[in-house]
Amino acid sequence: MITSQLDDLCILVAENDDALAFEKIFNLFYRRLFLFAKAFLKSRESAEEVLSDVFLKLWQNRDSLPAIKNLNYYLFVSCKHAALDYIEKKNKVPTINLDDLAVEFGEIALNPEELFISTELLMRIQQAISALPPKCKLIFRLIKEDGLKYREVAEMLNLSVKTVETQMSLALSKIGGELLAANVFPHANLSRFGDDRLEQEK
Amino acid sequence: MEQNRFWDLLAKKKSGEATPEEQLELKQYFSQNPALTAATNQIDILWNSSFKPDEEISNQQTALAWSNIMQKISNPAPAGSDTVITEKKSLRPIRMFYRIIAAASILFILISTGWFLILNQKKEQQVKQNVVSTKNGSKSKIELPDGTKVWLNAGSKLIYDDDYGKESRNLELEGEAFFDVVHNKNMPLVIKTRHMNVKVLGTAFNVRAYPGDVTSEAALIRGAIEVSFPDRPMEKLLLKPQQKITIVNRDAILNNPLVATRSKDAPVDQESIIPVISVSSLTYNKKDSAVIETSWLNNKLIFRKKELGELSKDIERWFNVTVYFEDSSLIGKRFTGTFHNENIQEALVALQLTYPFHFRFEKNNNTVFIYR
Repeated sequence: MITSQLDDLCILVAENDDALAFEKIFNLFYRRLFLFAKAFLKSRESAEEVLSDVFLKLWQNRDSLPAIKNLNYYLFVSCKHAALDYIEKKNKVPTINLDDLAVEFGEIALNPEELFISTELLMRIQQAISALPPKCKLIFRLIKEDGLKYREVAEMLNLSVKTVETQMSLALSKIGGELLAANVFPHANLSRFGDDRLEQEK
Repeated sequence: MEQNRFWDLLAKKKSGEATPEEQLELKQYFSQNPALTAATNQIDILWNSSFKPDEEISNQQTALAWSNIMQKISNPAPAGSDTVITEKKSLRPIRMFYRIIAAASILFILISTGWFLILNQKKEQQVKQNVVSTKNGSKSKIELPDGTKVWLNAGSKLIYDDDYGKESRNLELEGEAFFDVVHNKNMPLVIKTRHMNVKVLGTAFNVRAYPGDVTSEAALIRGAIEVSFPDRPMEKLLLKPQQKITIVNRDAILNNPLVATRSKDAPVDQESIIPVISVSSLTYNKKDSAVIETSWLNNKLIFRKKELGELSKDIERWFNVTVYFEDSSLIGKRFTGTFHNENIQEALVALQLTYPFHFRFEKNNNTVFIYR
């Protein structure tokens, strides 16, 4: 995801005002940041606006672009701030409850055959993921899809690392639990792998 | 292992957050519960695939979003409007132009012999010209009214008007020079040489345009420069860092006795085919990775596979001597080497090692005669 190519692009943008390089950076990050912002804003138009502001500011401050050590994380944090600012302006709500987010998790981009499972089981896994609490879903996506680290997610969302660990563990258990519960491996002691933490969370 | 611990460890492993101890613990657990391995493989596959977003973020949408941003970047909104964008700089069309970047680097500018007028033809009154020149064997440094610093190599001339820096920054160059350009986005620095014009958009470049030389060159170290040609004003070339442009001065070839002429039957070697205009990369000296094009700044004359005819001109300027060829067959021989602190005789002896020739150095009039 983050390659040394990205470093080169940043230098081109900072030193040469290279808009083509900036476009490449934009294309690298846009989709994931858009989904992230939309989880907070719940509106496509608002997300587009926030993303636009974030990248415009990035361009305005392009001189310091090469100095940003972790651009991925930086952009996520920027989007989060921008989204929250937007919400605050619109709704006068200063803080947001992470469980209020509308985190989308689309279809798993795999065929059931690739996993040696039935279509029904794949659907159950999908549902299990969708049924995760919003905070858990967000954290899961940030780590699995967006390449953030536990520490970064914790910092960005004002959580403890322990919370992030727990949420990730929870997400994995839902997915894995489905696989195991489908009697794929009848000899395993499956009862040990149900997860009652969902109950504990509430 | 308690159930939560297993998922905890697995999650950390997939996320790359597991410590070596944790990975070992997980491994041991798998070996005790082989039934888990297959399911974990499935999780691996799942983990490595991505999720399609519910709402397709199509390429179209991304492209549309980008074009919106491009517009805003190119046309900053006026102050007071809803989206206040305080642009420090505005983006000009990507196609050609870059901004001038504040430079701390030194530019070498070679001044080509031009009895070129710097004067703006529209102006009625005569504007006084300032001429700075260096003789063979010497270099000099000057500072222009706008603070731009110029280092002139041997045998070079720089001409600028008295009103340089007021509405425009035009220079004429004959020879070789390096510049440290002061940033001014409203007034680009333009260097005219006989065969090409260089518009400074960047910070560090070398221009080499000795009159009578077969080629003229502009070598870009950092930033951007735009090269155009007096006889073809519509054609412009934008150089990227580490690129250099070489132009063949056609009339120099025709009138130059020091250019080797080959008989029809002689085999044509690749080096002798010089395209009229070529863009190539900067050349580096293998031994010390110095950029050859600007090595003269460090008092080094580096040449690679250079014909002796062309090299003799460098030698003349470098050592302040005059070189005569008593045998024209030596003109086309190619030499590679570096002159650093040698005097003229030491340098000639060094050249002899590559290809045997004889020379006679007359000290009283600084003349070198080269013969077989």
